[in-house]
Amino acid sequence: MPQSKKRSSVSQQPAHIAQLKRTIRTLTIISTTALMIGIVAILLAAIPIVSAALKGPAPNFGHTIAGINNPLTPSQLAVINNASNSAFEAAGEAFLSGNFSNVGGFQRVNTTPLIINGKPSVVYLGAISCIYCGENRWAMALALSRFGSFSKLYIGYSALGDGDVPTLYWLPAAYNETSGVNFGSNYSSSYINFLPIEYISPIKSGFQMQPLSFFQQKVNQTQDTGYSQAVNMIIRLNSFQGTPYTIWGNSVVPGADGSIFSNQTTQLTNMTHQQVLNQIQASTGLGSAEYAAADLYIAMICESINNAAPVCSLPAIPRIEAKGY
Amino acid sequence: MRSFEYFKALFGSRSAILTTLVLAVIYYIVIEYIVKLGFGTGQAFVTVPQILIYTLAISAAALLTISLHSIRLSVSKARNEAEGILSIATALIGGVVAGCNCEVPIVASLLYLLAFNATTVSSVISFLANYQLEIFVLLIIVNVAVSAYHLSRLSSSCTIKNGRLVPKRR
Repeated sequence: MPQSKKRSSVSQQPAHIAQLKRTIRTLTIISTTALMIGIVAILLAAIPIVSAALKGPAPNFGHTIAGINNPLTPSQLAVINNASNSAFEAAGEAFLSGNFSNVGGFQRVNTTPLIINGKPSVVYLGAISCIYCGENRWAMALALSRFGSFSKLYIGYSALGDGDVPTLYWLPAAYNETSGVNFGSNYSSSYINFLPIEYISPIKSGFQMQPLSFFQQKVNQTQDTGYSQAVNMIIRLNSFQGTPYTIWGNSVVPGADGSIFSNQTTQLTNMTHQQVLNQIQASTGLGSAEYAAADLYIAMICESINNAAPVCSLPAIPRIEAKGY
Repeated sequence: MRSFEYFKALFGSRSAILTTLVLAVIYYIVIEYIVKLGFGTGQAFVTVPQILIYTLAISAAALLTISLHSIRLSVSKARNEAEGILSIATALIGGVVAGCNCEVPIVASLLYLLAFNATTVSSVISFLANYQLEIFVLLIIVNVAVSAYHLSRLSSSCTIKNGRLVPKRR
């Protein structure tokens, strides 16, 4: 009976020893609590230091914010608007042959397209601070250029704390703003509507985002029925899992076109806009992967417009449509 | 500073240091794997400072080492198991939080499975994105605090003899 033994031994202890033991136990509890509070306080004090280290300028990241918000020059814009169909075809064939392991792989979901003015819509929800959105916009711009044209695109970057990739902005972004949103672009097409929604946060921080209710509130302020329908559609679809989130007519893509950040020799994070545009123009390296990713989006739009655009007749496009993504 | 004395006694042994190192490497691999898992093919981006990932791996490994050694010393098995699970959980959550939070397919799928809607899921994504660093530091604090608490509790069941922890005679 160890318990009764213990109890009897305690009862046999003189009162002052029992009191001493209680005091020691109390002191132990106090010192342990003090130790834990001390550790927590030190760590909490370290948060701003660590945070500053994270959010400060990172010398190894790309090219910071050089030229941010400047419109592409006419020759740069032409690389996107006037890309050759042969580049799309070659990249599409290469994708079908399994040459681009970093393209695709996303789960496409079918939906009823958002029709505005008799045209199906391409809806995009992203953030300027998001690195995957940064990469994704290159492929998106290429794909959209097959169904219309951009009168302007802008030099942009993902957040310095989130990879700092060179990218395109649909509209100039107030990159120092604490929290804002851009609706719209300079795109026109006779086949489709393009409804981009871009979350704006300080570019020197990392990725930041707001809940969908925030966009609903902002779009209500603009009283734009098209964007209001787009945001409500994203909420209704119940498949949002982060940015970029795109709807291509009757296809929903909850994620990026892939992970096109390297062609084994060059990292996107270390390239200038001109270098990216050069690779797109020459359809080499990272550029050809962007064409392949654009082909996936083109195939989705073609499905939604009954293959009405000339690009839909490229041999690779119906084969990509048939294969899925 | 009883906790520190017990810390010294426990980690004074080679086996405890070795266990911690091995567990830290395993945790680090698990964290990196979860980050990559969230992004399918291609390159994944870790957006918290690497030093914090190392710290989380080591603190979680230290907590598990303390729990494992306590089991060996026959100290409350249930509590040790709970702390072992906590150590694993902090590493797993760390893996989810450490990656770029612009896409969180694993967390989102789980939430949709639990019948949450897109608005709620987007709120979670927003929270993870806006407080990524703070969440990560909190996980480390939890590991350190529980380890300190556990070491202080060891005094009731163990004693230090010749710089080593031995169970008290009952």
